[in-house]
Amino acid sequence: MGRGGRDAELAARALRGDEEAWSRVVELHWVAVWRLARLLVRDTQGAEDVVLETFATVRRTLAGYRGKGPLAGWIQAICRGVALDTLGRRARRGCEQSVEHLPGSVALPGSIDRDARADVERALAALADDEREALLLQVAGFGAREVAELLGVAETTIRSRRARAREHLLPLLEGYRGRTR
Amino acid sequence: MTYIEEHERTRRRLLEGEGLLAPDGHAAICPSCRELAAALAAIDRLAGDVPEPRPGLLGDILARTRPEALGETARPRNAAWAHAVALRRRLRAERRASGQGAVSEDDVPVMTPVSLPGDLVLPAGPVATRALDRHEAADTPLQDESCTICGAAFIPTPQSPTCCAGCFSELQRRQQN
Repeated sequence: MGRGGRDAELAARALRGDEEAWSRVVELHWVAVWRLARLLVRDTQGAEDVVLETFATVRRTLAGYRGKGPLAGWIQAICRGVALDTLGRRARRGCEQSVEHLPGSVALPGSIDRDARADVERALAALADDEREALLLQVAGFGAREVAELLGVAETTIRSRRARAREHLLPLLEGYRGRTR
Repeated sequence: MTYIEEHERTRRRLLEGEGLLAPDGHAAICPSCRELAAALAAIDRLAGDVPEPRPGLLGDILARTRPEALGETARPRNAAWAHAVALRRRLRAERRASGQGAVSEDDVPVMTPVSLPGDLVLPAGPVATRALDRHEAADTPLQDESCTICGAAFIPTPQSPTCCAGCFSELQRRQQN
């Protein structure tokens, strides 16, 4: 049985109420969903909310998964939608995204220290919403065409937003280039 | 294409995120474009570097996605709704503590659009009450307070002192007089 078949079988079992199958679905995908959510939302609490909402949505709409593609892609698409909704709500509320001060218990990647991360977050927060969104979705692995379809704009618009975002970030992050190689 | 044109095209492509992994021929010979490619790759690494998830998050996901938990989160959220539910619980507890039993089905409190403002819009009358009861499966409808105008069973709030819009108009008319 191929991956798609295994995914479909697992999803079907979870849909029938098999809690073990559902736990397996969550265990297989929660880290990837976390990474995408954290990448897009940029703060830990917001990312956790997105992850919880994503899996709640996945469970409620599992009947919609037809097994035509990998379950991971289907779940990530839901996560991406939830994260963008979250960002949209923040933008509508006009709340400025605070630069997160990570608690000491959170393990940071070895290559980047806390100050560097704070600078990255400040630099990203300084971008226009649409520019930040276009850049982060690319960093998360989504192509310009995919993002354009998702956001309902032209592919060239996404490319322009990415370019503007990078142009703004370049001077702000110049000092960290050498430290991340 | 001139060197300058090639340079601008490459720079543009790099900024758009294309060709970061495989800079074209121009980037290979242009120090400025090579430096830009390296800087952009560093930016992507910085932006994409996220902390590991909290270990307890997995347990939280599993707990929050149990069927019964999903039923909880599907409830409409509204300040008046929460107020009404809390009040019903308190009244039910008081009723039980005082030894009184359940009241008849006809005595259900009437919730109306007036008493449930905000994002939850329900038609007036018992339909709204039944909707509330569906989410409060263990509830026994109680009559504890009544509309100040018509006397119908009703849980008043400071924002909604009457059971329906008609009674509210009547209350305003009486207050004006």
